[in-house]
Amino acid sequence: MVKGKQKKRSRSTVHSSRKQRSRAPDRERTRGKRPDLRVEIAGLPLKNPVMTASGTFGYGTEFTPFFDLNALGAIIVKTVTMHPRLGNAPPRIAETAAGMLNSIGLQNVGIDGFRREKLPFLQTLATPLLVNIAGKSVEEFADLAKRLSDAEGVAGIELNISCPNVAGGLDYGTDPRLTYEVVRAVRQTTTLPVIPKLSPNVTDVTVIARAAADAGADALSLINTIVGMAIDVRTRKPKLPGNTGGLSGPAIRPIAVRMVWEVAQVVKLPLIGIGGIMTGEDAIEFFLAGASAVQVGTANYLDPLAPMKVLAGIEAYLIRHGFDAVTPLIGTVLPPDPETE
Amino acid sequence: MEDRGWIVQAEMHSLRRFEPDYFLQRFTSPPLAFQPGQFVMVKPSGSLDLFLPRAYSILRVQRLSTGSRGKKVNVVEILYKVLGKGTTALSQLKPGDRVDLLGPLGNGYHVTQGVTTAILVAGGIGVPPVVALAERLASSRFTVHGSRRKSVGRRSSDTDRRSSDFDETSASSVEPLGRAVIGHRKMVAFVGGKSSTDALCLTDLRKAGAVLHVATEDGSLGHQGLVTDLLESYLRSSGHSAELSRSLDGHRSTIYACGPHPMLYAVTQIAERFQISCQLSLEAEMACGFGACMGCVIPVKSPELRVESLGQSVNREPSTVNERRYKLCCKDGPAFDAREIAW
Ligand SMILES: Cc1cc2nc3c(=O)[nH]c(=O)nc-3n(C[C@H](O)[C@H](O)[C@H](O)COP(=O)(O)OP(=O)(O)OC[C@H]3O[C@@H](n4cnc5c(N)ncnc54)[C@H](O)[C@@H]3O)c2cc1C
Ligand SMILES: Cc1cc2nc3c(=O)[nH]c(=O)nc-3n(C[C@H](O)[C@H](O)[C@H](O)COP(=O)(O)O)c2cc1C
Ligand code: FES
Repeated sequence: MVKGKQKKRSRSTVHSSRKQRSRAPDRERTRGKRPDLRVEIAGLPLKNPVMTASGTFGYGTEFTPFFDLNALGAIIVKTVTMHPRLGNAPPRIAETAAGMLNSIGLQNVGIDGFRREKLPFLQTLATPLLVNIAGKSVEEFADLAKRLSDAEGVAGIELNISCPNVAGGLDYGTDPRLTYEVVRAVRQTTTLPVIPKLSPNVTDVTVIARAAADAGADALSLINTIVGMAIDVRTRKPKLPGNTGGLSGPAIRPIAVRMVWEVAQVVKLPLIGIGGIMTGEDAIEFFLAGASAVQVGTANYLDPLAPMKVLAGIEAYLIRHGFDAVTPLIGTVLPPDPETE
Repeated sequence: MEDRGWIVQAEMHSLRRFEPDYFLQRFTSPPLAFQPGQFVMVKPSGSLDLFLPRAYSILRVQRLSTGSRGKKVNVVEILYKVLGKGTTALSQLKPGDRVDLLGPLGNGYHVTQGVTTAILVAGGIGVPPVVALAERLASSRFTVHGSRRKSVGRRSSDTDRRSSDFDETSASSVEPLGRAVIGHRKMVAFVGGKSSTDALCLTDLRKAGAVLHVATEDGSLGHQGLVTDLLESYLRSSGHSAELSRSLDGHRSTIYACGPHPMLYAVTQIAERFQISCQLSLEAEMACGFGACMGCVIPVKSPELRVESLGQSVNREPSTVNERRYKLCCKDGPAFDAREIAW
C-alpha cells in the first residue's frame, strides 16, 4: 500500500504494492472506517484511482460548474499536438448501441496554445495533471515531452500512440518497434513519468505492452477507442464522413477488461484501465483484472458527475466487501470454477 | 452560466401530443433562469441502447399549480417532433418517470440594444427558441438600462401561474431578459411548415404580441410556399433596403431564426441583401452539450488564421475561401451571428 507521499519515483515501490494483492480483507479492522483509496501510478501518489480520460474532459474548465476537480485522483486533458489542429469535418459523433463513434481528429490548440491558454487554470489545481501528447514523428513526441517537462504543474505525460482518427495516428501503437522507439525517445528526454496509451486495434496487445515496458515506460494506459463503422440505412451512407470512427462507451468494456488482464499477466508495470466505465463496479472489474487506476471517458458526456459517482461506487464496494483499501484488490481476479461434466 | 441552475435528474411532469407527431413535454425542475435559445440535454435515465442524450431548446420555464391543493412546481417545457430513438423514448414516458436532464446550456439569442423590430423566423420544429424569445421580449418590453441586477435575481417563481393547461400561457408568465435591454416596439413572426399541422405555437406567438405570417408548403394554412418568401416580401414592402439598413420609419430590425438548414441559409442571404443583422440557432450532432467532447463543431468563417509554429505565431490571411475554423455549437452557440457561418 502507498504510505504517504513518496519523494522519489521508483518502480520497486509500485511492485511492492502489487505484492500485497493477496492479503485477505480484515473485516473487523475496517468496520466503520473509510477505505483507503490511495494508489500509486508511475511513482505518483494519487489520493484515489479515478482519473478522467483524454478527450472526454475538455481542459477541465467545462466541469467546474459540476464538482471540485481536486476530488479526482488525476486529470488528463485532451491530446496536445505540436501545432494547433482544426480537427475533422462534422458530423463527428454517431450514436451506437451502448456507445458512440467519434471522429474528432485531435482538434486542439497546440502545445504553445496549451501552455498559454489552458495550463494556467490547470496549474491552480492541487490534483496531479497528466498531459496527453501526440506527435507526428519520434522527434516530435520527444520535443513535446521536452516542452512539457519545463512547464510548471505537469505531473506526467501520457503518450497517445493510439488515435484512430488521424492519418498515421495508430502507427506508433500498432507496431512494437515504433512503440519502442517513441517511448524510448520520450523516456530519454524527460524525467516526468511516461505513460503510453495503448491501442486495442492490434492482434496481440501484450506485444506492444512489452515493447513499451522495455523502452522504459512507467505505467500503461489502456484502451483507446476501437475502430468501428456505422451506416445510416436510410441514406445508405456511413454516419461519419471519414467512414470509420473510434468506438467508446460500455460496448467496449469487455474488450478493455480482457486487454488489461492480458497485459497484467506479462508486464509488471502499473496499468490504468479505460473503457466504458460508468459505475464503481465497472471500475472494480478493471482493478480485479490488474489495473491500479481507471479513467472515466465517455460517461462524462452523459453525466458530468460520472467520475464522482464512480469514486463513490468504488468506496461503497470496498466497504460492502470488507476491503480496507483499493490496492489489495488489484489483479486478484480468481480462477474460474473448474469445468464440470 | 454561473448564476443558473443545473439539473441532472428530473421527472416527467406531463406530456401532450399534437397530431401528427409533435409532443410538448414538461419536466419538474428547480426554478431556472434561462436565455431564449438555450437548451437542455435530455434522455430517459438508465437507458443504454439509447445512449446519448439529445438537445432540446427550452420552450418555457414556469411555475404551475398541480392538483386540487394548488401545490406549486417548477417545470421546464420542451417541444419536439418524433423522429428517431431519442424522441420516441421521450414520447413514451409516464408522469414521474426519471430523466437525465442537464441545463440550461449554451448561449441563446443575443438581444442587442436599440433593436426596435424583432423579426422572428421559425421553420417546422425550429419554433421553440423563437417562441421563447417572443415571450421574453413581450415580458421585457419596457426593461431599460440599469435594470440588470434586478432582472437577474428575478426568477420565474415570481410569477404566479395557476393554469396547468398548455395553451394558457400568457406573456406575463415569463421572466424578463437577464440583460440590460431594449425597447422592442414591434414583433413580427414568420412561421413555416410542410402542412398546417407543422406550423406550431401560433397562439403562443400571437399572445406574445407578434404580428403573424404563416406559410405552408401545401398551402393548407396561410401562404402557399416557403416562409422565406414571406420574409422577403415583408422586408420589401416595409421599405427595408440595403442603402438605409433600416426600415423607412427609422426602426432598426434584427432577425432571429431557427429551422432547417436550407431555410437558415436562405434567411442569411435575405438578411445580407437587406443588411439586417441576423441571428441563427443552429444544430449539430452532440454527445455532451457542454464543451467536453468537441463533437458539435460549426464551420465559421475565419477572418484571420493564426498559425503557430516553434513558439512564434504568424498571422496570415486565408489563402482560399475554404479556409475554415470551427466553433462549438453547444458552447459558442447554438445562437450565432449569421455573418459568422461558413455555409
Ligand atoms: C441546440 C439544439 C436544439 C434542439 N432543439 C430541438 C427541439 O427543440 N425540438 C426538437 O424536436 N429537436 C431539437 N433538436 C434536435 C434533437 O436534438 C434531435 O436531434 C432530434 O430530436 C432527433 O433525435 P432522435 O433521437 O429522435 O433521432 P435519432 O435517432 O438521433 O436520429 C438521428 C437523425 O436522423 C434523422 N431521423 C431519424 N429518424 C428519422 C425518420 N424516421 N425520418 C427522417 N429522419 C429521421 C433525424 O434527422 C435525426 O436527427 C435540437 C438540436 C440541437 C443541437
Ligand atoms: C469524443 C472522444 C474524444 C477522444 N479524444 C481522445 C484524445 O484526444 N486522446 C486520447 O488519447 N484519447 C481520446 N479518446 C479516447 C478516450 O480517452 C478513451 O480512451 C476511450 O474513449 C475509451 O474509454 P471510454 O469508453 O470510457 O470512453 C477520446 C474519446 C472520445 C469518445
Ligand atoms: S456537444 Fe460536446 S462539445 Fe458540444
